[in-house]
Amino acid sequence: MTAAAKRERFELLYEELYESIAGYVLRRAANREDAAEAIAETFTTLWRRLDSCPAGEAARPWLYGVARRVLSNQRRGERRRNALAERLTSELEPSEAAPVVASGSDDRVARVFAALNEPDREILALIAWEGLTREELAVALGASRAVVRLRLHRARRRFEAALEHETGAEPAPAPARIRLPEGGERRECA
Amino acid sequence: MSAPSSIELLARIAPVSDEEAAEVLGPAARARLLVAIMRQSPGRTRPARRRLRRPLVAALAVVAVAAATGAGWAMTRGSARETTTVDCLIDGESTVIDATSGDPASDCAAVWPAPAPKLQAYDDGIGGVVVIPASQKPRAGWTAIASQDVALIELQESLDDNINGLDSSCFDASAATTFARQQLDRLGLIGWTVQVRSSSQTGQSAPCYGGFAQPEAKTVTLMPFGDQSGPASWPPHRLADSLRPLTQECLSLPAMKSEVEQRASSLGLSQTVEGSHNYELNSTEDDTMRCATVYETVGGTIDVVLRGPSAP
Repeated sequence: MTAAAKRERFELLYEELYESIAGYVLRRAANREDAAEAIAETFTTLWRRLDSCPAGEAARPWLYGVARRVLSNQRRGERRRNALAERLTSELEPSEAAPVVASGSDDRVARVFAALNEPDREILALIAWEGLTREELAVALGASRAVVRLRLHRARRRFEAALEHETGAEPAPAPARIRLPEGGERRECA
Repeated sequence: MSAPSSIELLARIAPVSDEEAAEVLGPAARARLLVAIMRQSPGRTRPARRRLRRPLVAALAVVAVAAATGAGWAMTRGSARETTTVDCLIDGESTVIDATSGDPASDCAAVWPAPAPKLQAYDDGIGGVVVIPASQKPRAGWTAIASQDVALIELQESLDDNINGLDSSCFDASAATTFARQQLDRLGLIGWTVQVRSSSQTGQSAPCYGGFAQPEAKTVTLMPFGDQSGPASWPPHRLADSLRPLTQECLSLPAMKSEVEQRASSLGLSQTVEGSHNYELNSTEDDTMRCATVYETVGGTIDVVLRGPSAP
């Protein structure tokens, strides 16, 4: 790939996926500074590994996988010194914790979700908040479709059981904040 | 009407939408990040990870503008001699810094944990300059180099400069183009063009332009970054205001350094205190120059770069 083609492809992917990745990262990071660092790190990785990034729609879940590993390293306290991340962080307002759930959302659903183990929370959030399909989940999680199907089934079952136990009744609906995976808007990758 | 599924219930508690998340950094930061990333050398292998302290810049969070154009930059499949960044591989981990002196080993020595070993710079074959201890064996394909092009380094510094450059005030496309051409002429960079990206290409509507150099295409690209004017009380602005008169004088490097230190100190800025009152001073002796130059860029901290003759 020529330098110009590489630059063009990166710009297209950046424009196409920035909001999705920023949203995913901000929904998962501990605070805005961590989110800024993770966004910068994720797209820096895309730039450096552009040749590894699959073409077409597969680029999106691939980049989610990158962001997921960046966040995972962040949680383990393993960071690289990333000058871009530092610079991006410097553009933020003073530190503010990222919201855990939407304000005014159903407390019971939020409480049950927060009580799940991290792997369950992760896979459910990728479906419900990021709108990934099962196939895309497999790419993002680096697992086979069969494993993803099983993990999702179990996570969903545990979540529903805990919801039932917590509420004993159907929770009151709150305003929708994000598209749903089924029938929702799908994004084309560059 | 059927009851919502568990996934639908979960979707309703999403803490923030994609659109809201994108606004957290704002369009200017988004554009700056894109530019800053593309100025880095692509294709590096991922370095080993280790625990690192919180970036210094956390305390500079109020430093809300003018950051990213000073970021690392190298060529896409260009020559390593054309890059203006250096990748210091400290304990196998990448720390990318802006080149200042033209001697990459010397630049890395300044950020290496003391005492820095003897260092050697290499062209990594993919457009980057990497520095490792001279005692270590370079990777296959790396070739030793001793210097980088100071004119290119200075070009990028002048574009990012807070004292008189594009980050010193709001330059519209026309003023930014004139400024970029002046810098190319001053630095003797012949055959270069200045390319202006329109607002529609970056989604920005504000008229303040920043810029970056692309040596492989001999092009300075100017982009609208939004209004970069921060509060007058912002430490980098105060320092830039204080240093601006010095650019009208013809000083030796020692005299310029002394003036900068005095003025920074009077503003409560220190080279030793980490945090919001920290700045870094890099000075390079160049006896081919008649008068010292000074640039101030903002990255992880305030960077002041001086070049000039050792005596008047």
